[in-house]
Amino acid sequence: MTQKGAYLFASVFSIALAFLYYFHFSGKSKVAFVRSNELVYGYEGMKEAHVLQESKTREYKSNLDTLQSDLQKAIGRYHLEFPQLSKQEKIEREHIISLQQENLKEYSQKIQASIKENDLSLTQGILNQINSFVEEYAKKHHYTLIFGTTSSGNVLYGDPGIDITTEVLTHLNQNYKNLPDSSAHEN
Amino acid sequence: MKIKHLFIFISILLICVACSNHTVHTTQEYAAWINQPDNACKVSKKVGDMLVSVKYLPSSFLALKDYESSDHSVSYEALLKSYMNSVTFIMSFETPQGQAGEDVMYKDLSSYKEYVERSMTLNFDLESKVILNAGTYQYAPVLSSLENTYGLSKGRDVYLVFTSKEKEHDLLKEPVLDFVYSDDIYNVGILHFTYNFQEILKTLPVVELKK
Repeated sequence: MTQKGAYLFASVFSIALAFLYYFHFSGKSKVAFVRSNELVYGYEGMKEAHVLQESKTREYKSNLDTLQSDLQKAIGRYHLEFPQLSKQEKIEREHIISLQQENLKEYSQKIQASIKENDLSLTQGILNQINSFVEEYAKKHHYTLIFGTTSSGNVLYGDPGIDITTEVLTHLNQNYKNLPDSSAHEN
Repeated sequence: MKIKHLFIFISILLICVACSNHTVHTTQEYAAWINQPDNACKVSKKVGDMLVSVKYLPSSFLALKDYESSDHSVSYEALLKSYMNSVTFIMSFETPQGQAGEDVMYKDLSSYKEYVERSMTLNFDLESKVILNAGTYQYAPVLSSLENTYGLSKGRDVYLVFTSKEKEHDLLKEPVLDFVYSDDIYNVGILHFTYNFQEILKTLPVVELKK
């Protein structure tokens, strides 16, 4: 092979190698991770859900307090008037107090179940919102895989360069209140 | 000189055309206009396998709809006047697959009791889950009505009407309306549907009645 031929071969080989390198790496999977806790608790939807839940709980507790206060008043009155009451009146008053106690217990159990159910439903809804958003975000930004780190340690180490928590959270919050999103994401 | 005048005339004409509002003649044309994404009357949110949409229904649309289905004994203008003090939205629940998807009335239910509960909530309790934020004011719906689809549709629509608090605050002058739905039916969380209300009002189509 002449020197000219060798140069030509080397040039063609280099170009071919460059193409191969480009095509191999340009098609490579894009992977990132988000810090799940920060994403969930930094999400405006979750914050608003907490506020809503707290306000509902306060409302329930206020109703419960009223029932409790009524019961205590009834018991107090009964003790105060006890010496003057006939046997029949005592039985009637005790029966009423016992009914009030039962109602209070039943109401208390119902509201506890209701609070738990509401909380579960709202939290599940918020998590569904985040999951749907991350799915759309991954598709739009061509991520093959987005890991979510948790305290149980499913990801032991991630290079900060592929940590997309901040940008996902920013877009997620913009999307939550329909604020204009720079990435024009529509969820 | 003549060319300059012609250029100015064409420019003014183009500006007028660009600024003039669209004209509609029928409810169908108006509905198509509302559904156009550019007109920002319809906002949709997809969460999991549910699609929740909220559409602002302008007073002129509601008046036209009533007028078309009436015997015209009441004028369009009179109907329009009756809708002028309220803001109406229609909230739709469906799966992203639409008619090919699941019926939202039965979706994820495991018992008749749950069905009855859902039916009662959608029919009579949805107004407790919706508020309209208008500046510093919050409005609860004064009317909520589930549209009966007689099994023809897999989705469900609920009409929600809001009216101004008398003398206190004019809802119709608010620049931005934020429709908030706090869900405990379909696990979609709290959803915000925000409208640049005054911008929408400016671009509403002009209704031209068919003679």
